[in-house]
Amino acid sequence: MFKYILKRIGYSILVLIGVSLIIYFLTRLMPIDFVEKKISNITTNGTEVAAEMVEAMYESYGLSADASFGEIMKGYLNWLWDLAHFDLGKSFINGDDVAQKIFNHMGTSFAIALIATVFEFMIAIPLGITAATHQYSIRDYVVTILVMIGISLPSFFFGNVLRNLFANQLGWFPPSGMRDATKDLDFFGQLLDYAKHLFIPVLTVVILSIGARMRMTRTNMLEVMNSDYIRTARAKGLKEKVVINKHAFRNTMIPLVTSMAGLLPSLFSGAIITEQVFDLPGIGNVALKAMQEGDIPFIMGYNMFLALLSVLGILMADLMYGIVDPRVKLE
Amino acid sequence: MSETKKKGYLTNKEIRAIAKANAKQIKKLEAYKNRKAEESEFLTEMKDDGNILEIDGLHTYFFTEQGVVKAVNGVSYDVPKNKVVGVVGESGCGKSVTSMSVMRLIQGPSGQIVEGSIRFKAYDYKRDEKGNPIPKGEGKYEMEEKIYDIAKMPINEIHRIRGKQVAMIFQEPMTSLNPVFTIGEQLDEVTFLHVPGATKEMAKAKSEEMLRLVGIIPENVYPRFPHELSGGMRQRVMIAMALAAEPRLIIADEPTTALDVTIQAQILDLLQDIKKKIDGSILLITHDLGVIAEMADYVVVMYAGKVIEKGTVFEIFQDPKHPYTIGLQKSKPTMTLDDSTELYNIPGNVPNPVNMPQHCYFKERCAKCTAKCSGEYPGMVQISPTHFVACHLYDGEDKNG
Repeated sequence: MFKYILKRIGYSILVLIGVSLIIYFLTRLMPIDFVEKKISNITTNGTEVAAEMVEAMYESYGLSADASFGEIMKGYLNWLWDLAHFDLGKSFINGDDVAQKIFNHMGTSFAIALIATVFEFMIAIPLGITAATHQYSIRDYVVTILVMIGISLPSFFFGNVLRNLFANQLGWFPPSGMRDATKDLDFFGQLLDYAKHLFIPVLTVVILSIGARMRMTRTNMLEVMNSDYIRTARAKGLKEKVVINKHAFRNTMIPLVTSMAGLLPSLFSGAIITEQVFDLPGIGNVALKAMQEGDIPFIMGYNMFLALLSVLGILMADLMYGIVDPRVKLE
Repeated sequence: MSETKKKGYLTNKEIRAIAKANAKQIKKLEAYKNRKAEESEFLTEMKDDGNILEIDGLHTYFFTEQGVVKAVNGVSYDVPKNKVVGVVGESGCGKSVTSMSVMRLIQGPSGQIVEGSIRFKAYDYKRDEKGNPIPKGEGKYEMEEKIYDIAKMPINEIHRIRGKQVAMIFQEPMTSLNPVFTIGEQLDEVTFLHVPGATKEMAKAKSEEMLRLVGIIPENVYPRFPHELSGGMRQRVMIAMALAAEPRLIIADEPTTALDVTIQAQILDLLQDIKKKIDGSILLITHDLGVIAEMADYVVVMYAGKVIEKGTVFEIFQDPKHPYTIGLQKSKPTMTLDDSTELYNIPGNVPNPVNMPQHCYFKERCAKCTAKCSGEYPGMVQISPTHFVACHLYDGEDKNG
């Protein structure tokens, strides 16, 4: 087992190096160039910028005006060298340390994602199970239709609808932002204030994400309920409740656990659109800005952070798989 | 567009009409199935006290989009105490559906028991006014005989029968055990379920005893998961599981079909052996006449959802009456058959289960059919005290007049 984990970590490092290479090249080849943007800002006033000046500006950001393969490769190796010294570099936009910047903005996104995911599982799994055990009943149809509506709504639209309803019409919750700056609050007051601000964003994310998880649970459950061993469990004389909650549920867990692999990165990646709609200082919002500006160190840092989480997520899912399904042996 | 109606195809109007009629029937039957009822509502009396199970005029239908499939269409047969009754017939003749009806394992809402009764003589715990069993020593309780009509039982009362009184061995040992629980956990569950106040040690002891009974060394198998065992071993475990609650009736639904021939022989030997050891009856469902000849005391021959002939194993094998039974006997390969003779097969096919004809279902395939066969479906004719046949050829021979 220990050996297996070590081996998997070894492979993961190789995967991450490959991923970083691809992302670095893609970022450098983007039609957005941070330095070029800066220069064009200056030249719009009619000011001339000397060629040496341009060169010097590129240099100061560790880049080069000529985007040849060799130059990009050099840039990549420099980035990798810094990474080997646990340095993700400094953001182009405001010179902040990238690792520090990711860490600072992660909290909000993580809070939203964690709360939303907990609710998503708590709601979607029981709904999926009832829909499956009462297949083709009114309950199944109602759940399925509501959930399909949830899947189909785009978050920028649905988020605004909820905001209009709860913030503008009813006035129960603040429409945007993270905290009320007009008040000076104690610790619990502050916590309550956060909760009030996050209610609508979390609700949006939960409603939109239930659908997929519920459909998945329903499909798995249906497959399990029609299997021979469920018939055996019934034939033993077990009550239907035990058949569903013990014999069927343990088997439905198996594919659900696999789907958890994607969960770890999604907890930290931030909900880009939702954060935009509610003007939240989450990491998704910051990442979008970095992308628009061509902030190479931040894009690299953010994407590599997610890549690392993805790899860890897959490893964790595989380990979990070995726990919930006795047929899987990890070697 | 010409709307020429092709045979076997339904128009939209017909489909809607079928769906409406089905929904109405299913709603009524589901409500009956899920109702709450006093015990007195499903207590009944046996016709013959020597029987443990009496299936009487059972109709089990499947309400499909193409129409109503009468999978079991008025089946009656008895299982006497401590005897083995074999049910034979080709695939889809309703032999499995009949046994599933006895266990009430028909998949709803489309599958429903529509009519008939299934009388079963249960040997259940005697209960005091509060419904608790009366103890009689450790793990033992006072027992009493009760006769239930399984077809009339509400589904939430069925746990009185399932597993404890009637146990079932299925056709597919490879998929019939839950892959995520160990053999031990799955076996112990039966004892926990059916012996009130059973402890962990009691359950384990019972499970190990049952494993030994089916020829397995418990230490090797008890802690294993199903995927670590072969098909034959799994079927032995299934048999052990069926025996664990000491049921009065074991239904073996084609227990050897999915196994290879050497394992088949072993499992049959095991069933023979168990038949002697347990105090109960076996209802053996198969399409293998050899298995029936070896195991059964009584034979029931089914065709297209109806019983067409029943009798003792001697009567059916030595003196088959129904042309279908005769055909079945002839289509059995024998060692003496020389290579040049082709194996006999009964010509034709079973009629479409949705639109069954009014006359004898075997008429189109029958070599001996007479003018009378186009008339109504033949009734049961009694040939001897134990031998019955549903065929117009024997209409005059009814021993009961």
